[in-house]
Amino acid sequence: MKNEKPSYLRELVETREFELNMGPQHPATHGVYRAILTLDGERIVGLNSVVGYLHRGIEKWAEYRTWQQATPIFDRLDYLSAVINCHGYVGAVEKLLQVEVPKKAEYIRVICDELQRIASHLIWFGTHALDIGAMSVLFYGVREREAVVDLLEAQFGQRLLYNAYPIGGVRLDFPKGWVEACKKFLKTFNSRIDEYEALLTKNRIWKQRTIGIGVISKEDAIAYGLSGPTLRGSGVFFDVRKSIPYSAYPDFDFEIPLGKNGDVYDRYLCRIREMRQSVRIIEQALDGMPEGELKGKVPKIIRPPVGEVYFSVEGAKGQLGFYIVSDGKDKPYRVHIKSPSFINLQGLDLMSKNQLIADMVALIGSIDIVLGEVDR
Amino acid sequence: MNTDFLLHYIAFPLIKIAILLAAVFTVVAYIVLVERRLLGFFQSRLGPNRVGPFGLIQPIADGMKLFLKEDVVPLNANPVLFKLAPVFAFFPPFVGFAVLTFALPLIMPSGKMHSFSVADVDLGILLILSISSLGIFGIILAGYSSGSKYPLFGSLRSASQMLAYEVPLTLSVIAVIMMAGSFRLSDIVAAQQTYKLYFVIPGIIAFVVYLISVVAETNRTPFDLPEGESEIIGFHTEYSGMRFAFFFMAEYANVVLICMLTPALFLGGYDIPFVNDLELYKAHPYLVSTLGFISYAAKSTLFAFFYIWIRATFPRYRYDQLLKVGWLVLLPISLFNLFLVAGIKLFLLK
Amino acid sequence: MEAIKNFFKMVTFPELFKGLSVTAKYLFQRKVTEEYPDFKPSIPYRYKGKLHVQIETCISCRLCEKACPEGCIKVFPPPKEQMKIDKRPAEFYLNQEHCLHCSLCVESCPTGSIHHSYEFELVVTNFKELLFNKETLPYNQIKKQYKWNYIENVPIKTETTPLEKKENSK
Repeated sequence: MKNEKPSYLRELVETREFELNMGPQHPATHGVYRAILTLDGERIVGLNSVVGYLHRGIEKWAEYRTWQQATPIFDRLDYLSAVINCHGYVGAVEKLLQVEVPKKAEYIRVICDELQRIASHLIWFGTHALDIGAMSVLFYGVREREAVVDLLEAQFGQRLLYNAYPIGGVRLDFPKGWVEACKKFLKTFNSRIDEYEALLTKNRIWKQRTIGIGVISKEDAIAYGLSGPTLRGSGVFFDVRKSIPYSAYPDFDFEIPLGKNGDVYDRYLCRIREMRQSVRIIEQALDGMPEGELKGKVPKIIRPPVGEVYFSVEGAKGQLGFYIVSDGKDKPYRVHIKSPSFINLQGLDLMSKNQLIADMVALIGSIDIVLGEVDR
Repeated sequence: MNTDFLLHYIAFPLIKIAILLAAVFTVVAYIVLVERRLLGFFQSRLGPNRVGPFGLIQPIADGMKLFLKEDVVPLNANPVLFKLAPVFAFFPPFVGFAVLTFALPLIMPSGKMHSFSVADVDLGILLILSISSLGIFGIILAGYSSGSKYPLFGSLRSASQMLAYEVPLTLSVIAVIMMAGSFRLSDIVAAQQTYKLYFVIPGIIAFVVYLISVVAETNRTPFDLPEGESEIIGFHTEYSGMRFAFFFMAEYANVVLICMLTPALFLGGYDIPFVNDLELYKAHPYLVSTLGFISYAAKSTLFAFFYIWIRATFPRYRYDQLLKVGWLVLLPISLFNLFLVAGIKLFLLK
Repeated sequence: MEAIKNFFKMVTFPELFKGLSVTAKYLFQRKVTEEYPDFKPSIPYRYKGKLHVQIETCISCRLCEKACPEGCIKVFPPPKEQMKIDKRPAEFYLNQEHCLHCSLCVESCPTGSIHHSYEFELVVTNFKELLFNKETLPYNQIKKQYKWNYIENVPIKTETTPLEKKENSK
């Protein structure tokens, strides 16, 4: 759509840009996120984000608790993928303490991480499609997620915020019958993804809504520091599991899906393919599970040496990093969290130049922000 | 002023109007429940089923809730237009119901022919099309008088969307009128009975164009951006309580009107499929008429099911793509279709 | 040939019918809604419900008080003379309102007297009902005691669900 008015109109008609508040209360911004849009007709000319409505002071809270006591709060960061947050914090403390985590514990952690990644991507799938209008997909995604959350509930005891790992390993092995239930779930899950793709991927309405919207080039994506599927949709190969390997990921064989153009459709395809790759990882891990201890040697009262460490994991939204400073006491001195949603949100300004308002929800959905992570 | 005049020109029409209004209000109230339950079944969950057995008292509960809500008129709103807009949106569909014919006419014992419609006028289709254009007024007034930006957006979009889809709708209906030869609805059904051919077969392109236009006219998914629940919220943001109930009922009354109009135009109305016999009608008039009514109801229900099925499956179009589909795709196709149907009528249908 | 196929696909939209068929398939399958008050769900074995305390086995070591991130537990040990005979605490305050269900206290208890039960219906109308002292501490012997550290190889779901499955009584 051309933006220029013909010359005779420019003299007769005077237009003005106005500001619209896509306010903190909105059904499509996933949480309390405020976007002040400057509009020229229906085109977005400027975007001003206001965040901070959900700030809870998590980093400060962690300074008043001991190292093991602080673990439950980090589930509340990205509350839809709690196990991965826990892994990040616990991995950082283990790196500081130089504790050897046994192989069996690493395999269990990888399985639970990938299951949590599938659950988080299913919620993304449902809400993204709901914002664009296909309301049934939300219910299918959530119904699928019930199966995953039931598996995690059988292992950890809770459904959303697990307090999954102690420092040093995992608490308990899988219960009896869990491995069979997991394998049964994985067998049906691939065909279910095929069904959901049949609903959306080739649909002409979906394609018209998402192809060519919100394009970020490779250079811009790297310059803004994006990570996760937002970055991989533009064709940049960076995944913490492959580029900075941690835990037991070097043992498994999986691919990282990349996009070509960097628009909403490519990010959507990236995440759908990531779900399939997660299924591959879990199958390999279940088949090759070693025997051994569940927990490494960790002292009763944890007092790490003085120093600082940075450890990052591949969260469901991007690269989740923990920067921990310790001064030898039994409580952390400083915990800083590099949250992927906060940094990916910078890309929204770039993506929304010259798009229509109706595309805003598609863009916010494709970055997949969770406000708990943005505001901490 | 004899009893004949009173009976046939005043009493019977009033009774018919009363029955029609009662039936239409019940259907409009319960199609909301049917839609919610059916959407639930498509999404592998149960819809509302706790309020009565199978949730049958749910519409009454909803109506009571909306009735008891506080009546808010925003400060920035234009009060006269704000209160007038729901009325403009509400009455057009109910006028449209008056022209529909529901079953074959019967000869009463008194000797007079009784038709099953309130007012089967000569220009039935034209009346429906023109009065339903008045519904746009309600939406424009609602958005303009609300005094805030989101409803204004929604109503402007809705207005241009409905304008854009009026033209292909009218052109595809003209194809049907050409084949039938008259504007009157009972004549259209009679023409389909005479040719022993439902108009969906020669006018298949017209049928497809009609389906798409009519989904866009009633502001339903995939064309419901003005009402878009998860984006710009829509033209009825500032309405609450009974005024919102008016808009809500107006939308579903439109849906029911279209569900009843489509079988009349394309699928043969009250014609019983595969049984098309004048002798049978003369022998058992009551039986054939009742069966005809049942088949009309079945066709309308099928169409309503199709409507809800589409809503459950497809994402929604963006606003400019919607207008592109309306002006650039449907308009040429329906114009081309006019020539095609004219050719079919001249050479094939005798 | 390709152009004709593309044109055909454009006007008859086959992929939209495929999407419709997916939705229609779910019309006839079993619905996943759990009708809650009439049918209670089945609980996994390791479920972390409301905390129960068996005060007879408590030895007032106060490890749970140190482990709780929220400070929900306050234990007052008995005076020194009574400690030699009977180690049960003089007073035990438990605040169920702020409990995160993180099970750090359950992990650290040496006797297993504080443990999770299977109660998940924690809704009250007055929050003071969630503050427990020694007399009102919940403990139900019928429900299986689950000591977090001790039982490792457990099945997924309980064999006997502690909550009854009532038939639809409507």
